[in-house]
Amino acid sequence: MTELEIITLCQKWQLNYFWELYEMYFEQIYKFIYLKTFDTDLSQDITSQVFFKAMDKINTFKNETDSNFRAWLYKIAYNLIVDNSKKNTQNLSIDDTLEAYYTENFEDNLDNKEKLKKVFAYFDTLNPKHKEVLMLRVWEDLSFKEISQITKMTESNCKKIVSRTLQNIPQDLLITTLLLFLIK
Amino acid sequence: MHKIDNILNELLAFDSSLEQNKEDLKDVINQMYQIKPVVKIDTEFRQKLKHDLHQKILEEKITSKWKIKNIYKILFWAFWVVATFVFWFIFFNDTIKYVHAPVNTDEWKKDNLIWLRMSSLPETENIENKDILENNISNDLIENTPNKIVLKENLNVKTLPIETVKPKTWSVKKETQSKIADEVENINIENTNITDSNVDNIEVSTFSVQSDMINKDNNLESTQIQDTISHDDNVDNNEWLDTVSWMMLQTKAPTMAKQSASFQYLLDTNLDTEFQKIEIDNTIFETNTQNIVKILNFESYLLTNDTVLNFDSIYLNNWEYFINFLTSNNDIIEISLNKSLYIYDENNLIIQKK
Repeated sequence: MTELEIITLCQKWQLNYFWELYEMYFEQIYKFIYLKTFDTDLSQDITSQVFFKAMDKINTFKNETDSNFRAWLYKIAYNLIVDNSKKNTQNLSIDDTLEAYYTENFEDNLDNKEKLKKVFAYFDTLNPKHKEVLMLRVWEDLSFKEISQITKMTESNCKKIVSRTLQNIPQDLLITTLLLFLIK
Repeated sequence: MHKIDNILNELLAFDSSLEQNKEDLKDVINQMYQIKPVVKIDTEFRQKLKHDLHQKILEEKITSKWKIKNIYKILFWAFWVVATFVFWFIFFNDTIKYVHAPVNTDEWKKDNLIWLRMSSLPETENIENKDILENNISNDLIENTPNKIVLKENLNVKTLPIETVKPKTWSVKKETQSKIADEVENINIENTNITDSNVDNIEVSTFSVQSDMINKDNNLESTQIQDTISHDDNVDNNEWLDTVSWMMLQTKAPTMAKQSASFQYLLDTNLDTEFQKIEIDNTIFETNTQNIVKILNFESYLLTNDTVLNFDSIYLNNWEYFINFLTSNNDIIEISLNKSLYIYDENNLIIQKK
């Protein structure tokens, strides 16, 4: 059964098929949200909201051949993250973010934390939109078309942003960080 | 590597100037992939969210089922309400019409609804008369046959005085009436014709009664009586004709009163025609369901010493007028309908039933 067929069934109130969509996209959505927030509780909260909202609004999804359900889900998640960041004005510092990240994902507090900190510090210097597009393309592996749907930017604009941002990333910054992850 | 190549190819297709830095770009993309933070999935959360969604789905199912069930219920009851109304409207259309009919109008006069008429009976009726009426209605009037309608109309006389049912547009000048009354007191009517030049398109209709009469000295006198009738938009030709007929009967009242002591009405129930025939002392009356009484043989009805009135036909649009006319000129009238004899007094009240 194709994804579009499953969605069609869900739109006909056969919501049992929603599990398949859930299993298909849960990890991607959760990871995307986590990498945006670096907060487990908040990520879980937003992930729940994404799937509840998707289930509620699945009838509004235009089930056509060129429709993209993954992009639709990401867009819901993206909007919820934006809404949440507007509500929660207290932004975590890079230190706090990394601390949380390390605590949750690494058993040891590594010395190279400082180097990773540099990478994140660099990303923070980027234009938020540019950073967003780059992350979605490289880390989330979304197509430029999907990214344009989520961010409401044109496809060519997204490509331009990614190419320029990648060109400007200092080589030594990434190599250092890569070593850090390899050690782990 | 496949993903990296994809991104690289897309970028190169977009901007060919990147070709010279192709290897560097590829390296950067590759490293970007490598430094992507690892995110652990909390399986407990995953199961919990799945459970919560499952609950939500159950609720949605219940809700949607409830909606569907109730929509069917609503549609079911709506269907029966509409069907009942349509059924009632088709089979009891008359009832609707009568309920909304204004009282004391021509439309109302023509109504055949028995219960409405019954409800209008005055409470002051003496018990005997009331019983007679109720018995008649229960026994004879339930079926809506022409015969019964005639009988009902007879009964209706007693509840509607002539002043009530006479349309306002009927204006017979008093001086005309008195003139006729004076003349016919001593003059026998030989011949009478009714003429009207503008029957179909009437606002104010002038009609004349042409009478050839023989006076005391046996000399023939022609008398023409003219009068006008005002018509409003609701007056049709039948009413006009009715007016003329009524007028004529009024003019002949003194003669009739002298000669007609009593009348016997016999319904010919064997005739299954549109008009029901009524025989009154050798005079044939026909009446239909609209209570238009057609007097076919009027000459024998108005017998005088040696004069015969020669009307081909006279129509009476309302039976009660006819009865009123009769009773207004006789102390007592006996009317036999369906083998029952009704005796009316001068006030149009049934005083006896045999």
